[in-house]
Amino acid sequence: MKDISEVQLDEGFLSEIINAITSGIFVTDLEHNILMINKAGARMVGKRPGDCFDRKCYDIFKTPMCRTEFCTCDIVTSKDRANYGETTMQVGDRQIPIEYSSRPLKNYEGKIIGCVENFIDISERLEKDRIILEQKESLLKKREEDIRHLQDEILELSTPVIQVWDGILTLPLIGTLDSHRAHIAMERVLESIEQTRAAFVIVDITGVPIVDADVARHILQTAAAARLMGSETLLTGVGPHTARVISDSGVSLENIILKGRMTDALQYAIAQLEERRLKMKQFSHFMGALGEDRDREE
Amino acid sequence: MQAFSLFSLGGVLLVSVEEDIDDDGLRDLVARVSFRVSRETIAGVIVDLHHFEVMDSHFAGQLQALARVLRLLQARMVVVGLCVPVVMTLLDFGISLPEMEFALDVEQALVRLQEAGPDQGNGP
Repeated sequence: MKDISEVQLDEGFLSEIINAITSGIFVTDLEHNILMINKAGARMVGKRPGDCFDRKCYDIFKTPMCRTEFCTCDIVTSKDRANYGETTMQVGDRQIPIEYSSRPLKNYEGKIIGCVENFIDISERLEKDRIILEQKESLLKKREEDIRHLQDEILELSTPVIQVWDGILTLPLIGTLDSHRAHIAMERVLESIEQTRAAFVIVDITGVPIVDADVARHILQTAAAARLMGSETLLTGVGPHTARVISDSGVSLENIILKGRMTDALQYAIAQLEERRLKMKQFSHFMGALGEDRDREE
Repeated sequence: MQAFSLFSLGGVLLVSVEEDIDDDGLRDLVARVSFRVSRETIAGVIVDLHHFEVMDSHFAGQLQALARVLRLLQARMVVVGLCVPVVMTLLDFGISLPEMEFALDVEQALVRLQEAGPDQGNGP
């Protein structure tokens, strides 16, 4: 058995090596005639090497760059430098994505006489990339959905409207109050008023760490909305710091009844409800009397 | 068919308004309500708007005008039955209807009119 160093590197053996390479290799002259193509290259375009000789490379490969200013053969032969890139070649009715690299071919005098090009089929790689990208995207999408779901959940949790007494709703606010949250809170308060016919809404801001002019305005707007529905708004949990901020911001809270603590507000609201109930009783007596009068007249 | 109806409830006038009321109807409403209030001893007018699913700024302006007229005639005006979408629209437009009062329903409005009103000082 012969050692590889003993093998004579003649022309035949070199062409054997070139034909053994799995990537496509071909050589063209300055007129784009294919002087040589290896077996792998010919197989990729669905031909045998013999079918390709002396044919124009643009007739064989049919890439979008062929016969344009981006032709890699023209680039390397005119600029005397290597050129790399990706493109697709047309084989029958199939598009095959390839990666190619070209270099100018020079004779023994150093004069450029053609172009050597090698290319590989990258459709598998692109497919893999596409799958990875798809997986990444679906993962991201799922993550985003999860986050949105959680955000909704937090919003839902953070604006609870609780009926603590017949006709009294409470809205204990916790955490920062941005305009989005304030809007949700307002909508929920209105819906709850419509459902429960509550005459009082107690907004407690003990749990809101930063109360600024914006927050004060949001609360004011909620109160305005409740007023249009026919309910009164009480505000509790205003600390000394919050009081100063609100007074400095110049927002007037005159439509809101302020109470120190939740208990005070509850007591006030319950007393008011009781008073109204009594008045209603008197009024219905009065209306009943009116009705009796009318009956008598008839 | 008339787009509104008036009921007398012992010193209180109840006005129920249909959603399809037009400009003429509105003018008629303001005229008749103010006439009744000026002739009879009516302390308050309850305007029931629970038929309204949408309200435009024009109607809101007319309501405001009615409230001003009633104020001059020394009667209070209480609006009842605004639904959530209407309230949201009014707020979005920045309409706060400051010259009238609001109540959840007619019953609450009657109670409210028994209470001391905001312009009690102007009363007789």
